[in-house]
Amino acid sequence: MSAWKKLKQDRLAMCCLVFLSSVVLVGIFAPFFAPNNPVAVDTSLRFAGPSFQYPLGNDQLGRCVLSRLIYAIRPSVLLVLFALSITVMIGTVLGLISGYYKGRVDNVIMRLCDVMLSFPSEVITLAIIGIFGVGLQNILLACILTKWAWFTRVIRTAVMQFSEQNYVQFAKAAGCSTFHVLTHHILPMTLSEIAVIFSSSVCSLILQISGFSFLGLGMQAPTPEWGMMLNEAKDVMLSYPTLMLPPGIAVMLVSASFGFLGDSLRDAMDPKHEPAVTKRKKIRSTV
Amino acid sequence: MLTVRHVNKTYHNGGFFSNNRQPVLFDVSFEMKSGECLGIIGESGSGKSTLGRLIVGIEKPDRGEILFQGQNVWSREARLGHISAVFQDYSSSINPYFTVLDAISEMLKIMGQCDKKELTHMVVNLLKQVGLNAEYCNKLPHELSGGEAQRVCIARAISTGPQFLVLDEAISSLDASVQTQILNLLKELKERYQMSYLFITHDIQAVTYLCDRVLFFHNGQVIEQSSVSKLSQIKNEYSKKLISSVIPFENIKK
Repeated sequence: MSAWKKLKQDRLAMCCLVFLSSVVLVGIFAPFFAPNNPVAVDTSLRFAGPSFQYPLGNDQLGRCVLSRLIYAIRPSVLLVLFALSITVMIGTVLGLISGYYKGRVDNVIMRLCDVMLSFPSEVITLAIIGIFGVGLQNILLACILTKWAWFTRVIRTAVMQFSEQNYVQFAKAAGCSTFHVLTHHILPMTLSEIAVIFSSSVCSLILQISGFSFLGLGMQAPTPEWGMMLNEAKDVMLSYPTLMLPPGIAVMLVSASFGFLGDSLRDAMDPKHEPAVTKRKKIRSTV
Repeated sequence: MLTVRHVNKTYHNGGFFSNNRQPVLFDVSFEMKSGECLGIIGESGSGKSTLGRLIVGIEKPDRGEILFQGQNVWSREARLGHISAVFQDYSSSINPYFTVLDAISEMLKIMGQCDKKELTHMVVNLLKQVGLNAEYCNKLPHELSGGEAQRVCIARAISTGPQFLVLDEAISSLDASVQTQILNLLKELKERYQMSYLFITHDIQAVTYLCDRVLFFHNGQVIEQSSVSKLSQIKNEYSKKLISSVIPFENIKK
């Protein structure tokens, strides 16, 4: 059974997938979905409750909360995905080289990773913000710089494990090219590993960026971003606590969905793993 | 056909800056004629599997050369379609994502066969050769038993019509009754396709059944060569010990 078929049977995974793809679509086509201009200030509507024109109400400057939430998908989700894809690509290439060729190359790459991993990522991020200035792109740059080493290590370990398998030995012995071996036998095996680390780091990165924006180091006002919306809501936490809910719930739902989806993907890609649903059906049919 | 000349192999042990090397093979030389079946016998750790890995070009010898029909086996082109291998551990011998059809047709595709119908036809034919029916095409490796998996591996190995097959402990991890079946299959295939085998094992009985000539391997060196019919005339102490370790067992059976 193919991975896609298995994934389709997994209801939770499909829910997450549908939810995340709609989030991404809404983020890409934000101008069509947002009811109002996200940065338009209208002081007469400060802290107004939900209405037809402003479904989630207005914030301390009278800006539409829903529109801000929708526009914030761009930095909070899309840019994070973009930065992570770059990181995963670097990690995959280096991990493949390091795990497959071993020896000196591996040693050099691993020592580089050790150096990168020995810095706490928060410190590097702060240092880069200190050098290049405040801004989301610098946080993403810092993320790529700190995370690639970790990805490389995880992927290298997987590659090493798989390149000792007999089917790889056979392919080499029978005269397959290195490229064929890597693309047909090693990369597909590491995909499930990549799916898991990718999804788990999406969660941590969304939270991290929200965290830095919350501290005022990420996105700059007035551009909307979930962490910054939380930061702004914090100031009026006692008088208008409901203002924290939309960005908070959005961050929670998106990172939880990525987490669940990653787990389901790993299971779906394992050919030996049969989903509970088919197992039940099989038992029923044998009875 | 296959010439192994003064092959040495050491393995690096220790860390980044260490220069310690563990010798595994020391000055190994022998020749194989076309159509011959050569057995290599030795205890675990004697370096016989390393020799197998060198001959199929997975690793490179430190010194010496291995020639197949005059070409160095280290070059991929010299091996492609001519040399193939079957390994011991059948459970990891087939990519778990591949169906039996994918696994067997892999090398055929690389050799330039791409018509899907033709491929399926060839795979079914190969499966028939190793005693499996067409229903196995869509099975995944974890659905196969040990004997079936090893048959699929053999079908995959002979798919390109190689002249030379390296069998590295190919029957050692199967149970006794399946071992005989696979041995018979190998013997049959050998006669049908005029292949040469290099049969690496620690099982002397299997060697006497399948092979024409035996090399005794000890501590990375060839200590004695003998044809199977003259096994009783071997002189080396160690090979005598290896042979005699089987005889009491045979006496009990009789």
